[in-house]
Amino acid sequence: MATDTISPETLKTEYLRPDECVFYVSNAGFIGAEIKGVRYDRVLLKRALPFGAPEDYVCVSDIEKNEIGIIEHVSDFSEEQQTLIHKELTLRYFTPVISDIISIKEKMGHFYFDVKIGDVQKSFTVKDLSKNVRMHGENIDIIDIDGNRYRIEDLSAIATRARRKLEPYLY
Amino acid sequence: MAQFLPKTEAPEPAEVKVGFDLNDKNEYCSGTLSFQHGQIFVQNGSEAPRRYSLTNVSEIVQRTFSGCSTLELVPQNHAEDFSDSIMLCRFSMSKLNEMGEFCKVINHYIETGETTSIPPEVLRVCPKCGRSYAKGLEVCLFCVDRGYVLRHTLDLVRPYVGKLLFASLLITVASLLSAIVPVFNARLVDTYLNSTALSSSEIVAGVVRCAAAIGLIQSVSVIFRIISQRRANRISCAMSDDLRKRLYDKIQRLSLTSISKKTSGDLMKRVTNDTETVRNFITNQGLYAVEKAISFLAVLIILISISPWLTLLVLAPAPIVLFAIYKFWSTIRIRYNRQWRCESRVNSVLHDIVKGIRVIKSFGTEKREIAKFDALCKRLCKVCVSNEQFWAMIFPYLTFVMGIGEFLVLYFGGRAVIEGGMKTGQLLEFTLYLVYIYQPLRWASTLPRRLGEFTTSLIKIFEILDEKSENNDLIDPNADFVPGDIEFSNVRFGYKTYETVLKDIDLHVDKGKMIGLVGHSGAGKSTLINLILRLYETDSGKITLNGVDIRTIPQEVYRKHTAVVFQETFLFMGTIYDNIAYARPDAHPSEIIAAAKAANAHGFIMDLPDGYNTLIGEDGHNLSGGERQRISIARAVLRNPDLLILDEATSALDPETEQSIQEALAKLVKGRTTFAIAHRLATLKNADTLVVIDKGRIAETGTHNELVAKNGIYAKLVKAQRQTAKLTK
Repeated sequence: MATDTISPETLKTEYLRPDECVFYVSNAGFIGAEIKGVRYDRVLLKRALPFGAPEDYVCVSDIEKNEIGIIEHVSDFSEEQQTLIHKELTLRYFTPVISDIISIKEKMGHFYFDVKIGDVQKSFTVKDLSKNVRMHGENIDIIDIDGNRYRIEDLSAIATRARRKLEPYLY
Repeated sequence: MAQFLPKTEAPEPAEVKVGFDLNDKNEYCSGTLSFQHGQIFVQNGSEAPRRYSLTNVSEIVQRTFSGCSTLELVPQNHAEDFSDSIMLCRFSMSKLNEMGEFCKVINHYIETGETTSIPPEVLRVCPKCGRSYAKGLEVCLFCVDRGYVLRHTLDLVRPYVGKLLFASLLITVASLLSAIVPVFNARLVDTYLNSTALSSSEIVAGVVRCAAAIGLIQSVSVIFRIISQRRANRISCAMSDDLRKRLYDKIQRLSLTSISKKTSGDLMKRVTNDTETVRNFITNQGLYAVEKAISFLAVLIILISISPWLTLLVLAPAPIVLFAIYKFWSTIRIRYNRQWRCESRVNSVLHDIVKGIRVIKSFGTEKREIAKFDALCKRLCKVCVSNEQFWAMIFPYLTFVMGIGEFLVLYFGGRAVIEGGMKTGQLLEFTLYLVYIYQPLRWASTLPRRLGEFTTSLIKIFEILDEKSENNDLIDPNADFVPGDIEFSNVRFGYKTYETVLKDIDLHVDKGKMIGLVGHSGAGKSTLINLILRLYETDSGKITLNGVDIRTIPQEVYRKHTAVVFQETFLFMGTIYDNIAYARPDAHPSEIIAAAKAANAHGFIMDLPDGYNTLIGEDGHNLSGGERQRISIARAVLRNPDLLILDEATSALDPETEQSIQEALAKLVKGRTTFAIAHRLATLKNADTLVVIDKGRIAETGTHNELVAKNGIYAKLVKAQRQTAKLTK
């Protein structure tokens, strides 16, 4: 269980075991689940710790956001089920990974990024770097003024030239 | 409902067209969504277009996730879990606004059969660069012209131009007077000290005359400088005072949405430190710049008249220095911006720690907070050290390069004196004038740093001052608050365009009646209150008072007639008297006492040694929750409002205190139109009508008995509360 001191029973948290929860894709293309014998043709999957533990504590709720239960570790499920869960999470959490930084310009208190995401060149604007550039271990998450999220996975792995452009804007 | 069109059958020109940018795998793509003749066409790149008829569709909904969103068609008589909805397309957050407007067009068509269009200005995208406008701004800051800083600086100094010009004139005269001194030095050397023709008494008399002239000139110059400095100080104090007032005034007028996006540390830094930096730069550096520019030009003319080729040598290093300054400018600005962010973060955390000191101490987390603050201070220190080191590395080089001209002058000038091409006094005069040439250039080499600090602060200030405060288009300056019935007509509202919090709100409230708002947390009760208070404005539909749209009534007129009692009471630093009188500063003491009596506060106030003059700190730390709440009710009583809002006014209190406050509130609501929110349903027993809000819509209305008989949401809430009450017994 989660910790030795607080049991899920005490907090009335419903942890979903792989043997009592089966996910499937409905005819309309939405992810559904049969949980403890109850069929839900459309469920929502949400990460409780999207930065800290994206593969753990995934909440399953109905479309009205009423929580049905929590998947403690996605890895406990079968490979086929994991694929379904990952596919749904990928659709819910859109965080393109920046592969190169072409330029960062500062004008009037706003920061204009020109980056490469794979082969696609993207331009976005960030305001208030202290709030919208967050470091999580090796990852750097950037949120632009529209609410889009971008990630740099492992700062040390990107080209030195690109790293030098970004570093002055980090704390 | 959905049909795939054959590839040859292209849709007719679209009436309403928007773009989407993600495919069904959440990868970037370029697609279009168009609406025409009651049908929606979806086209993704070269894929076959899809066509959807809106017949049998109840609405189009936008669902927002993390970093992306979807658009779905909901069929009529849809499944409870929306599992039969049709996914139209996916898109990134950059398209949210556009898609939100598209949804409005489609839903309007479904409701009325009319096709509307999307006004281009609501898309808030720069037509030049395609970037989104920053929140609250109507210009693209990326494309804005380079004169922005200059324009805003001029805007700041405009009211003081006359006074600044006078101070500049004084300092220029002082500077020009000082510039005459080397002429006397040269005369002293060449005419008297190096003279062989004059007698010693004539030489002494000449020296004395020269010395007297130099002394007199310097004295007059100093007097002019003192007067100029005094003037400059007076102007700078007035300017910073004015700037702080403008900034504070704007912060007060900005919408809650805008203010809540900035931390208090950030706002405080803008009002205090940034205004000070701007003031310092404009008055000190600005005045210095005027003085040095004029003396530079005057001395340059004198130097050219003495020796054009030596002047050329003096100026030789200048282009190198200016080029270096230009090249380092961007780096220096980035560095000082980083320092600003670190300072702002330290301020915010310090503000949090001081504000939350009771929580910190009660959880015993002092060490953790000290470590957090320490880490931030170290980070700030590191950034400051790095900036200073960078500066210390650049500045000596610039100074050295600048000094090369002096060596050249001494070498070539010395040779010219020996060879007889120049007099000793002339060389002395020339070298003395070098100070006037190099001082402005050295100052220019420090300019990037000062300019970096100044532009950072100026932009931070104008980010607030330029922000659009609210939509004033509808305001009629002559509209008055005439108490009467309140009517909500088809009101729709969301804090974000794509997330509707309230929809289809139709409600009639008779003048003087009390409305109890009931519903689960997050149902939209407080949002409804915010709309009545005009803290936000409706997206569509309107709220009228006595038949007049409340948006036409000027805010200050409207607010004079409203009062609110919140769950969280905020008492300002000052006395109890000041806090009650906050609602009406001109109130007579007898009115303050009457208000306190009505709020059942007079008794405990009189038990305090200093009575109404008791000082209370921020949040009224030395008063209990119930006492604080009664003071805030007294504040509302004193306002004598026509429209009263009670937002969970008694939920944080124990039953005994609540009873006392309920009595106070009963007196207060009498004869006034009142909207009250309470989770404890028993506290709404005096309400004339109860309105149950569920998922942003009005689900039920009626009296307590009517709603219980209906056996709906309200009845369930009542049952649940009774069970909880039994359990707690």
